[in-house]
Amino acid sequence: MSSSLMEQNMNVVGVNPRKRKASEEPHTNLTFSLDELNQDLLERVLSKLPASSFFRLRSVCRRWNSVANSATFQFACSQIPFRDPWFLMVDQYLDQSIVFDTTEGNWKNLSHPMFLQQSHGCKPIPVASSGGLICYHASSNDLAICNPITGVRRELPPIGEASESQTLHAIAMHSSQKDDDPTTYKVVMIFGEFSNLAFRVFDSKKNMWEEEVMLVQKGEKSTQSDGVGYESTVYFLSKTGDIVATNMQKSPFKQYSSVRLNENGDDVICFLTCSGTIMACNLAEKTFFEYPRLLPAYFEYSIDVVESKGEMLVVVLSEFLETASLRVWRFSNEERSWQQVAAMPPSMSHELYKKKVDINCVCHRDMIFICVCSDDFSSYVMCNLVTNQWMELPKCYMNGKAKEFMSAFCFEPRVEAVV
Amino acid sequence: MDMEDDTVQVRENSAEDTEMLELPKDPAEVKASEFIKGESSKEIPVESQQPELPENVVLQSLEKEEFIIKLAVGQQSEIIKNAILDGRGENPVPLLNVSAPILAKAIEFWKRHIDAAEGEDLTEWDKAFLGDLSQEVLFELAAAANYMESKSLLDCTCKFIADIIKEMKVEEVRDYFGIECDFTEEEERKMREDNAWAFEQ
Repeated sequence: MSSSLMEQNMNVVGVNPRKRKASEEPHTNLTFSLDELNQDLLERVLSKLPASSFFRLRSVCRRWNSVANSATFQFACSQIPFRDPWFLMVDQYLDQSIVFDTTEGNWKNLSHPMFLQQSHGCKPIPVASSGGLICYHASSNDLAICNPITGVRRELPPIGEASESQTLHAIAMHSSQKDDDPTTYKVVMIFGEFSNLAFRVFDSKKNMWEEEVMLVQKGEKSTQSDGVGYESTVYFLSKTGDIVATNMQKSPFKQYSSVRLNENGDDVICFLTCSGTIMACNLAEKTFFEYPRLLPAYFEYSIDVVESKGEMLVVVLSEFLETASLRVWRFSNEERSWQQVAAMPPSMSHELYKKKVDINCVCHRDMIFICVCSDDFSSYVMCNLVTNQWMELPKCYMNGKAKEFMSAFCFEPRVEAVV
Repeated sequence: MDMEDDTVQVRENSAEDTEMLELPKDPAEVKASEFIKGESSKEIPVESQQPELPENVVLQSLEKEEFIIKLAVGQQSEIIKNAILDGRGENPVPLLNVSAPILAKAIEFWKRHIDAAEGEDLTEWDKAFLGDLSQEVLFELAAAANYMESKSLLDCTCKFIADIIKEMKVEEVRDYFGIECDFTEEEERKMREDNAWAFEQ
């Protein structure tokens, strides 16, 4: 057993000094260079490079360039469990793919002209992301999956008339890579009226949309308990005697965004409703549940839902006592109440007081990325949940102008992610 | 057939004998041959049922220099592990592709990793260990780790090399590895254009 393995590897190590080539360049005093290494070793080293380093160093020589297309290299890449996230930014123009690279701490313009020009008039908006892939939504409920690093894109088959005509609430995606199998992913669409929610799943392995599944409501209906509701607007009497309306117009850039949680192995999709409550749809149990509000509606200013390691976290920007505060909350199932996880330093959040900003958040494991924006203000902040460190990102300038982004989608730069 | 009957009979007799001879509690622990020989009164540990694993392993480098290490240390290499466990008990294990100084370094790495306390983070030690090596030795160690199929050493050396080059410019990487560029100027220009975002800043 072992002797045959040794035979295979006989050509590997250039330990023998007699291997030095007569024609060797004077500046190379190595008896041994990585260039002489077997393919396996080169691929392993390159697979451990951050994405932008790898794409840059493809120019070193033909051999390094060809590694990108090697199946064994892509397998080596897939064995790396986590990569530093990149955040794909969404602005009102939707004509460029600008990302924030957390490894290098800078902004990059990934634009793939072919993709963006193909959009049949209506520019595709990113709506979901998972692993190394982004899901885009075009006008008539057409979805496309794209790997932003390689620019490769695939349009999903249309979902069909019956589902298209219903109110769409959320789109979620989950991609995974198992052993030798290429990336597989599932896209979930949740639609219908709140008395009649349903979902459908697209499975990349089957390359088709599965049948519609109805969801049953679980738990008491709690939404209307502290106010009078009318369609999607809820009215409250505030402490000062004003009538306050929460009519959360979800911006088109976050309209269908949702997060996918893992609750004891069940897929649970959470999204914000127009009245600012959080709906959780358990796809395995076929039920949906509305979480109790964090704060009375007149305290909340802006709210968003993120997922961290399979758990849901809620980010709330609220204003009271003449200042603004931005906090991260987790729902404790045992205590049936919200518990604070992190809070932005008060001096930082005070800057947001009375600015009428909207927050749009995404999370990658322990890192929350928050886009804070209003008509005339935009700022991007990252929070490390473990160390409770908050950091404002440098502004992004393209062609001398500061870019204003509404929201972001988080993905891992993965050369090997297949659409 | 007669023989079979005899052995069956022997076993039956032994069963009766067990009480008198004070055998170990689990009769399965005692080999059948011992029953027949009548040595069942000895207490025989379970481990001796398997082929004996040596406490130490001898490794032989390219120059035929020999290194004696504990079994646990050597098992961090699949090649060494298989050579011992496949029962042929190949000793010394020949590692014809690895020179003595490189093998010594590999052994040092394995020893430190085996001696590590539960949950001890060795990243700093690994970095210092590899940082001390010359470029040539580092590459040879990576190749040796690949050949000897030692995942921990292989992952560590490859990551270290990747970290060295990740911020280098293309020309610096070529110098570092002694690679000659085989792209034409036109091809190289096009590659930079296609991957422009990777070259920013």
